[in-house]
Amino acid sequence: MEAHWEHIEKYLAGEMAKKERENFEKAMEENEALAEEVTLVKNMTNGIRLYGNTKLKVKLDEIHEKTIKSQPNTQPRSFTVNRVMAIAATVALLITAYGIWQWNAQIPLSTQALYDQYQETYSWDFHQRGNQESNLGTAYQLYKEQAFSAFVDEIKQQSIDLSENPPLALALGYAFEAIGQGDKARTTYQIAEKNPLFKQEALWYQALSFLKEDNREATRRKLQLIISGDGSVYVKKATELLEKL
Amino acid sequence: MTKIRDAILLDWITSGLPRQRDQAFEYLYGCHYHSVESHILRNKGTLEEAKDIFQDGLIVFYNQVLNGKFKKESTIKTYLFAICKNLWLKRLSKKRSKTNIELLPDQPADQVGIVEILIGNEEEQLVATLVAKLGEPCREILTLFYYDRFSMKQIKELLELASEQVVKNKKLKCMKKLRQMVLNHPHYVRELKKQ
Repeated sequence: MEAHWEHIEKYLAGEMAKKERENFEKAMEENEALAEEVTLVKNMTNGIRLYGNTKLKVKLDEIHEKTIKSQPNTQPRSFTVNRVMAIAATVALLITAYGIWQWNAQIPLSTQALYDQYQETYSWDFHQRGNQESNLGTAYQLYKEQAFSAFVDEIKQQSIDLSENPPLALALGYAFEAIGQGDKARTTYQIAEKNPLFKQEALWYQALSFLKEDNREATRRKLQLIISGDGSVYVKKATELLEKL
Repeated sequence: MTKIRDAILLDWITSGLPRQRDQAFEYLYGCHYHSVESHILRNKGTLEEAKDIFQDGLIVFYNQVLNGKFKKESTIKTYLFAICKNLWLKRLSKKRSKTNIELLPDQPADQVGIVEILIGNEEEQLVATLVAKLGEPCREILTLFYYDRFSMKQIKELLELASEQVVKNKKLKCMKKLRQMVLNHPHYVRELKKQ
C-alpha cells in the first residue's frame, strides 16, 4: 500500500489533473483498502501539521517574552507627538495612574487576574542526577514542548515511583493542571510535598491550583503553610499573594 | 521600528529559512500584538487570553500563507486582526454557549475553518501526540516537509544532508515508522471502526 503514497499525497494536495483525479477516485470506490489508506495519510499529514502548530506556539512564547514582556512599550509609533502634547499626556497619565492606584488599593483583584499574575510553568530540571539514565527523555521533550496530554500519557505508561522523583511529581502535577485536571494535579503535588526539599514549591503550586478554581479559602490555607515554613523565595511570594487575597 | 513592507514579510515567511521566518514573526508581534490585546481586553478578555488568541492568530495566518489562502486582497495587519477577532468571537461564543446567549454571526469565506487549523479531529490529535514521540530527525524532517512546506532541496541544505534523494528516503522511512505507530495504537483502530 505504501507504493501508492506518492499518488495519495498528490491527490490530497490537489495536484492531480482532472482525468487523473477521476481515475483515482474511481479506484478508491472499488478498493476499500486504498480508501482507508487515503484517510490514514490524510490524518497523518494533518496530525503532523497539528504538531507543527504546537512547536510554533513554543517559539511564539519565546518571542512574546522577548518582544512584549521585556519591552512593554514596543508598540510602533506612526506619528510624532509634540512636546506640549507630550507633557499634557504625561500629566493626564499621572492623574489616571494615581486614580487607578487608589482604586486598586480599595478593590481586590479578581481571582483570575491574580492567577494570571502568579502562574508560571513549572521549570522541570531534567538534568538532575538519575533522570538521564532513565527512560524519561521522551517525557522531558514532551514537557518542554508543552504537549502536556502526551506527557501525562507517557508517564502513565512507565511505572515510576513519584515519591523518589519529586521534580517529576511537580512536573506531572503541572501537566495535569494544564489539561484541566486540578484534582489530580493537587494529589500529585502532595507526593512532592512529602519531601522537605520540595515541600514549599509543592505547596505553592497547590495554592495556585486552588486559586485557579477560585477557591480562596483553600488557597489561603496553603499559603499560610508556606509562610509558616523556612524562609525561601516561596515565603515572599506567598506573603505577597496572601495580602492581595 | 522600521516599517517593513508586506511583500518582504511574506518572502521571509516562505523563504525556507527558519531565522527569516522567526524574524517575520518578531516583527508582526511587535507591530500588531498591542492592537489585538486592546481589542480582547475591551471585550471581557484577560492578558493571558490576549496572548493566546494573538499566537493562535499568527499560527492560522502562517498556515493560510503556506496553503496559498492568503490572497493579498488586504494588508497583513487587517487580515491578522480579522483572524484574531474571529478566534476571540468563537471563544466567547463557546463560553456563552453554556447559557445559549448568542450565536456567532456568519463568517467571511476566508475565515471559515480557522479553528479547525488549530484543533483538528480526534485522529489528527492522536497522530500529533505520536509525532511528538517519534524522535529526531524524523520529527524535524516531517515537520519541515508537511508543516513548513519546505522543499526537499531546502531540507537538504538546512539539515546538511548529502542529497535530495537522502531526504526523500529518510522522509519515507519516517512516514512508515509513524504509520506503524498509528496503526498499532488501539485508539486509532477503534476510531476507524466507528467511521
